Amino acid sequence: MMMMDPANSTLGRMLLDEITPVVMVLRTHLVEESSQKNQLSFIQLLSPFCNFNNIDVPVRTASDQPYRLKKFKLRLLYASDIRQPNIEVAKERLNQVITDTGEEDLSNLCSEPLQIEIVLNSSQNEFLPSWFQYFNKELVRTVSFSEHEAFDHPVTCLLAVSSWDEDPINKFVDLFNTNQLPSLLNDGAMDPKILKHFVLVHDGEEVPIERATKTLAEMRSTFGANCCHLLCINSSKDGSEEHENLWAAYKTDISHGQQLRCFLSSDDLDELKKFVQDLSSKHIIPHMEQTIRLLNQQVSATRKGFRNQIKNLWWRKGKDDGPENSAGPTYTFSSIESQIRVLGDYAFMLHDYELALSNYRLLSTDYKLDKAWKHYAGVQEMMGLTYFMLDQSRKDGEYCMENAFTTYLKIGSSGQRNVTRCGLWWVEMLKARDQYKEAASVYFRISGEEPLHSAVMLEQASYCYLFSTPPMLRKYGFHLVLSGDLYKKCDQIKHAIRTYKGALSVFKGTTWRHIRDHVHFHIGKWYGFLGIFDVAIKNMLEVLACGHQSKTTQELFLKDFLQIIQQTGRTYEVPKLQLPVINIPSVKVVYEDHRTYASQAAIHVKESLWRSLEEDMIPTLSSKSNWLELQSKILPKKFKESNICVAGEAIGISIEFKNPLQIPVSVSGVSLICEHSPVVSEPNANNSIGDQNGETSNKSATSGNSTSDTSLFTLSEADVALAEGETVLVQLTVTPIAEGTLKIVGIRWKLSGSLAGFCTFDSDLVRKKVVKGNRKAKRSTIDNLKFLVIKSLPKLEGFIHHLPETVYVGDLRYIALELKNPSKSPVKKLKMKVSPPRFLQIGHKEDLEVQFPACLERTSTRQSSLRSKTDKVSDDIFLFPEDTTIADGAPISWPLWLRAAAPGKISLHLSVYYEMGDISSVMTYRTLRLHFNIEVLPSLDVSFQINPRPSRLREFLVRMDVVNRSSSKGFQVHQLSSVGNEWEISLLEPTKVLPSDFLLAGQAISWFLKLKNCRSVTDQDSVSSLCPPEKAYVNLLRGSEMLFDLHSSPLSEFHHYERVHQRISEKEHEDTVDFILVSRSQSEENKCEFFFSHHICHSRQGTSSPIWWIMDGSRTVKHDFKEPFCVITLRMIVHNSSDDVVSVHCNPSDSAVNISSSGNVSAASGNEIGWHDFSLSNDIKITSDAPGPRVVKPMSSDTVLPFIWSASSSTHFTLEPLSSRETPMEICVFSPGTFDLSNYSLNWSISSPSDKWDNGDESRASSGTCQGHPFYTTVLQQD
Amino acid sequence: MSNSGYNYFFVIVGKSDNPLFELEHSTKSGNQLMDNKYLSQFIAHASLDLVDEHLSTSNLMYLKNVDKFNDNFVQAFVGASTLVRFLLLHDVNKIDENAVKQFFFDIYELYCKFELNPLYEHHTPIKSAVFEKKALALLKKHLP
Repeated sequence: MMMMDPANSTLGRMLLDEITPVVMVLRTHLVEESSQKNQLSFIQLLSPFCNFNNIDVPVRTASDQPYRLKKFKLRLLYASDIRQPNIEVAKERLNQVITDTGEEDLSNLCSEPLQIEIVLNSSQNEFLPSWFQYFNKELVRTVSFSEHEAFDHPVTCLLAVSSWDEDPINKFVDLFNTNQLPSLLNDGAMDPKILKHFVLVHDGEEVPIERATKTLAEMRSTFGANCCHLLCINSSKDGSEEHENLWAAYKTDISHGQQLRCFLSSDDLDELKKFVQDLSSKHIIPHMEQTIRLLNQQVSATRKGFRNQIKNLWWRKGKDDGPENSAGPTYTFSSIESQIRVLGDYAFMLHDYELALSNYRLLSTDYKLDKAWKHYAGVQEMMGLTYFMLDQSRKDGEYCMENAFTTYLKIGSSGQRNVTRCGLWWVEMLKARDQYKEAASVYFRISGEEPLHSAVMLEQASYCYLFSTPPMLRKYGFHLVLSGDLYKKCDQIKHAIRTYKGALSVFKGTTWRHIRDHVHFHIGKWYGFLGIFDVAIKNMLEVLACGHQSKTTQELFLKDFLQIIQQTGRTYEVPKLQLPVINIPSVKVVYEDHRTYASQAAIHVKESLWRSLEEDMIPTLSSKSNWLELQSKILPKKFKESNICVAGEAIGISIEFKNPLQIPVSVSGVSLICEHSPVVSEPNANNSIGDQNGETSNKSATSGNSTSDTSLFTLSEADVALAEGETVLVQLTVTPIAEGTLKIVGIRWKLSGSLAGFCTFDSDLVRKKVVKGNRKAKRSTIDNLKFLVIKSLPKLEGFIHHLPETVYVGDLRYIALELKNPSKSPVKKLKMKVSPPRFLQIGHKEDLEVQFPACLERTSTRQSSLRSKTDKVSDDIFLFPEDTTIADGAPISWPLWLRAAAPGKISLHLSVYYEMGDISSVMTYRTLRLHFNIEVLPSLDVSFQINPRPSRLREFLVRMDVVNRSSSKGFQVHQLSSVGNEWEISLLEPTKVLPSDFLLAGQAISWFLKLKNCRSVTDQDSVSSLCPPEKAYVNLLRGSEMLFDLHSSPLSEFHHYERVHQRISEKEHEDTVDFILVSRSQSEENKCEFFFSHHICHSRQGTSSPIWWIMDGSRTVKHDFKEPFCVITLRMIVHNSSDDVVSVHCNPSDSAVNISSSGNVSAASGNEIGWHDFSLSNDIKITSDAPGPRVVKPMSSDTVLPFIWSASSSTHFTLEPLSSRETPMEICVFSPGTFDLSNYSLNWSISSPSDKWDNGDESRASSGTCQGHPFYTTVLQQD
Repeated sequence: MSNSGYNYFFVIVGKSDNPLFELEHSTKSGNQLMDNKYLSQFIAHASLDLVDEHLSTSNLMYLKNVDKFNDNFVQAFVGASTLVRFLLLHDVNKIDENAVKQFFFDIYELYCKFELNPLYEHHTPIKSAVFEKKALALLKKHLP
């Protein structure tokens, strides 16, 4: 630590200033009057000369070595002022000081808080408020003239009598009247025998000098020659002398600018100066020296040395037995303790610190033993200061101060002010040694009961933290806040704001949310008190979105905030208002360019879905480009960058508002902020438009109040009430009216009716809704909210009538699409596409008039095949008739068919393309997009099981299971049809009908049906072999003859899509069959009939064999078994139902039928070998060899008796496609009985595979083995 | 302070002096947390200055009592990196230093485990309910 001169430190200067000899001044009225001619009191008159910077007087105190005193000062005080100051008055004065300084820096109050870097770099002097020193000095002075300290005791008494005074000698005597003397002299705290000095003040203006000299002579004879003096003042006649600067520092009641009348000539001044110097050097200092020497002798005699110490201890001990006085023992001036104190204080004042210290030390032990705590503390305090002035043993000094401080604290409230003084000195001591942190903690300890003083102390503490190295900024901020709170408690709002502002520079941007809220809220509130509303609001805004605070705090914040807003008496505009929170990334923009939407629902459908739907309709997309490039051919180049919207058509914005608080918030008048700039006519005006927009957007960003000219665009307004923590999606629109460029800049709203907030959409933050599709990715988002407004265009509106919300599966409905164009300008060339076609089909114009479902009924006159698809370009784009134009609001209707194909939530999409009648318009075409959702409930669940009928060629048994899966609805099963001309269907039991007409919810029923394939059996003409269409229908409803024609539109179209949907594999099998089940139901309310069709496609039997065969022959044969065996001739008819040539190999087997159960392959291969053996070895062997094994086998099946297939039964032949062949078979029976002739197998293989087999259709084998059908023959013994 | 029980405010402070995790707990019968939470924050925040000072002189992790404001004491602990600091504000007059030390070590372990979470960006507020629950359990376990 660097060495410092204690005398030059703040504390040193303070001590040299304050701990100096006191001169008590007693004067007559006339003396005062004379000096008042110069507008100065008598003391003020003398004061400038009492401060000696270099008095250079040799001083010899206790030691023999004299030293020279350099700095010296006298404190002149009227006797009336030599007493303990009135506490209340002092307090009042201090408070006034604070208030006054508070007023001064009002101008700084509104300024921004300083940057913390600036605070750190500013020096102590420029940063600390200057009034702190003055305040501290005043605070120290409140405890002057206490009894336990001697340095405030007057050393000399100066008696001043004017030469005007009558009988000056008596006046002198009267002045030193004991009644008027300070209590210190009277109550024995100090020696009343005080050194006196008599001054005769001669006012040179009024009285001749002779009288004065005469009186002086009288005085000298009365009081002694040395202590009398004549002082001449006011010798200047005209009062024009100027010595202004001399008194400036001593006068507080006169402002500096005022010109003083001064009657003091330079001679007078010299005399004054000489007088005071003489007084100091010739009287006071020698007197003090003398006193010191005298007292030192006494003290040495009584207290120094070993003997005295023992004696003293002994004596002190004896005193302990006396009653304990709460204030401690009182010491009169004559007591040795008081004398030591005087000795010490005089030595201190004469800068003989060593002497002072030794005496203080001596004294402190005495006081401690006496438990005279106040005295003890006082001495400790002085010891500390002496150590400081000696600049040695810092530890001891601090220890003494600490000791004094705590001791003062210990004696309670009476020591409080002493605590303050001691603390302030201590602080200065620490500061002088750069121990700022310790100083701060002392300041903190000083802050006591008096809140205002505490506030000042805490503020000083905070600065100490700031100036400590390293700076303790967080402590600085905290103590400023503490201090500010106390200032506020004492209504010193300006000071409070000042401190909080200091704290703000620390806490700016802190993440300690409660700290931030506290500071901003309070400073905001206080600014509000002072009426500085803009700053108040700025601070309050910081705390508005305080979701982390408790509910009561939130209410308090909001209430106070709104109160301030109300006080301003106007709507306040706030950029970036935090309440409610606006989720800018949630902004979604919806607008219509060439794409228009019939409903809100259509907007939310993915753009890609629409694009795929419209792909073929929109001319641009046929080439490999997007719509934008087409537009760029039509539009000027500058339009390319902007989104295009049409005048008169609203642009919608949806944005999320979130209330972060636990209390409800009401927001009103939410609307968009937009800018409109007219079209610039120059073709290459691209840049100028951009610049223009840039300028205007800057303007509105700062004001938030861009005027909405209703001739350019109109805005929608919304009011929102946000419950606690709620998030609300607000829908806003802007409708451009004039052509030009429209830019959506931001959003504005009103909070609680009085606070207008606005928020600009920072382009980077806005993520556009998917409406833009691919385009979005390519373009910078900056232009997202910029629109090019083009001339008004016709826009189609579309509705669908009679669209149900929920339907049951299979429900077929007629719905009508209505298109309307409200504008005068016509639209033409309409095209339409729907999706998904399985659910929605476009009808024909004539369908508009028909009755449904009556139109589907079969009549003889209608021919199903007559319907042509002339209206259709391809399968799915529908072209309206050429002459269709829509204008003037006249609606046109078009029929649509809805069929609920599958259960679930189904989205239906329609897109209508149209072109403008007016060729000159910027946009040549537009599309109208419609979107609907329907819910499809399950109804009848139909399943088929098809088995070949063994007894018939190409016939099947069909079992149809119908289950009603609906929850409540009943259905009437009406009709079943097979689709196509090659199938014939009929009920197995024609009488089978339902128990009731309706199949109720949850019920199931089965029908058994016959199905016959009518495909040509031979190579006849296929047409002639087709079944009559009537046979493809089965009426399942009793008593109803009505049948529906399922080949008519729209059922045929729907069936087509069902087939496509239900297709299992690419390859269509020839022998699959499609069924359509028609059911009906009636709605409860209006008896309206519903028509349901259920399509089950690609039903087929389980096997994959292409061949059909039947065994034919006589069932009963009579034979006389006297013959060795009976030969029975049978025939087998084999039919090839495939389109290929099949070679068939018939393998009769001699094994029992039930062998086949062991597996086809092994049986077949085994049989083959066995069969050859048998055919070769013929009959003879049978009796000898065969019976062994053969007997065993028939035993397992009782009914079968041995028979063998004759050789001719084995055949091999090929079958042409769709042809039959008859093969003879023969068996030999050896005994009567019933025989099952199923123990043969047919091996088939496709011998000439056509190309389609090569296509990898693995599901179908090219060869296989079929086991024989059961065929029983009974052979009877012929009688 | 009439009814027996103590208030605790525990905070983890990150590298830019930002609170990462705050926990309030009171064992008072009324279980009323200090309403003036801002004061707790102020004291804790201010004590960071003293933590920094301690760090320059000590290389221990547990810094014991670093600060005192009226009846509130601040115990501090620093992580191995000294960027993360743990402060415990309490009003227990004579607190068992060993218990506090153990509490801090357990909390530090918990924090280290949490920090291993790859999805947690270091020195950002911890918003895990599990972490809070565990921290509270540790506080209850170690402190009176």
